[in-house]
Amino acid sequence: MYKFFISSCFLFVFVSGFSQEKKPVLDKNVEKDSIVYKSPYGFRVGLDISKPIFAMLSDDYSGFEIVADYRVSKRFFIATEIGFEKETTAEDYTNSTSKGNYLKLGFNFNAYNNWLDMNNEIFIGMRYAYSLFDQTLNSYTPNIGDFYFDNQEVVLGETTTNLSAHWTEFVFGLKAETFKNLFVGFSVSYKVLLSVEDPENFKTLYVPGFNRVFQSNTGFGFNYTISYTIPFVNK
Amino acid sequence: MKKYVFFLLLILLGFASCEKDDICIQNPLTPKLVIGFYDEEDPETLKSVDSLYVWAEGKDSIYVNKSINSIELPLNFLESETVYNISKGTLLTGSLTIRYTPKEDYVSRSCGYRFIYNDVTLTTENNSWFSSLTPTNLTTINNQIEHVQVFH
Repeated sequence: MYKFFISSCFLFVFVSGFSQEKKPVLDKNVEKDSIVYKSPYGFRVGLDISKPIFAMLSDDYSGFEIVADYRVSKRFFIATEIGFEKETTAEDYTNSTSKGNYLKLGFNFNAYNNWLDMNNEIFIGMRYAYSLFDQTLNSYTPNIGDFYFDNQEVVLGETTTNLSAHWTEFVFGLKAETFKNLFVGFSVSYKVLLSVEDPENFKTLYVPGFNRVFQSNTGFGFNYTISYTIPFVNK
Repeated sequence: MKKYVFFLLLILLGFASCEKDDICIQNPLTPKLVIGFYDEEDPETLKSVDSLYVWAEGKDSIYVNKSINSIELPLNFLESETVYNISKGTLLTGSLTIRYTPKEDYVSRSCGYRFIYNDVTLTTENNSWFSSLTPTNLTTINNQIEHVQVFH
């Protein structure tokens, strides 16, 4: 009987064995692979080409953005975007225009492991951004609810200058090296407003660089860039 | 790379299909003057007016031959006064002149601007049917509550 129990115990015992483990070769005659794939470290500068295209397609929008980054380590890049945007927001009861400049500063982390000497990127990043802009209330139609008395659109053109906004961005994107040192990139960003100034008796509906301000004080954006790396060193 | 292209198209589709995130549900937004009709012998009780006609000077009627104890009158924001004729039947007439300073007030992206009325005063002329009138909440009209009590 004991024999049976002992045998059953053995049923649940497992042993792991290795037989193909490679023993370290200590032969000094074997040549080491001397080819080290270096990647360029430098300053990359480019343009967002989606904004001029949108400006061509729409009369209500114009924009321009310069992007730049500087590689500080294997995976980290200091990144910045500087731009100008002007957008007319037409709502049911109001029509307003925002225009101004913005600056974003932060970093990208390249999460992609490149093959050999390739320099592609799939990155995530963060930005802190600041915008200084003007907002003009072009016209509004009072929301009076019924049509007993005549309603009339009020044309104003009232401009509030030097409004500012701060926000943070979470960026996700990719960059592909298409020719030597020339990159095509795409990124999307999710933005969270930290603070924004509103005109008196009105609201900031659009912030340059931030895009439309949603009710929850968040926003979305994307860019499509073509950029060129000026390599300083290869390492 | 094909996978990424698909992913990007998906994101773009997401952007393209963004809908309005706020819809104006506050209605009516611009407040109206609310008048309640009370019994002159029992000032606490609402009393309906039989056969009520209400119209603004030079406009069509809002209320025609109604039996009602409370009325809502829109005010003309383009002017600083609105004159209403309030008749009981076809013989008993009266007019109400409301003077005010209209002021635009921003509400939200979807609702836009409403009007509120400050410095509201009320006078009656040629009144032949109601005995007295008490403005209860009448310096500013900024919400839809009863502003005036009329006793008859």
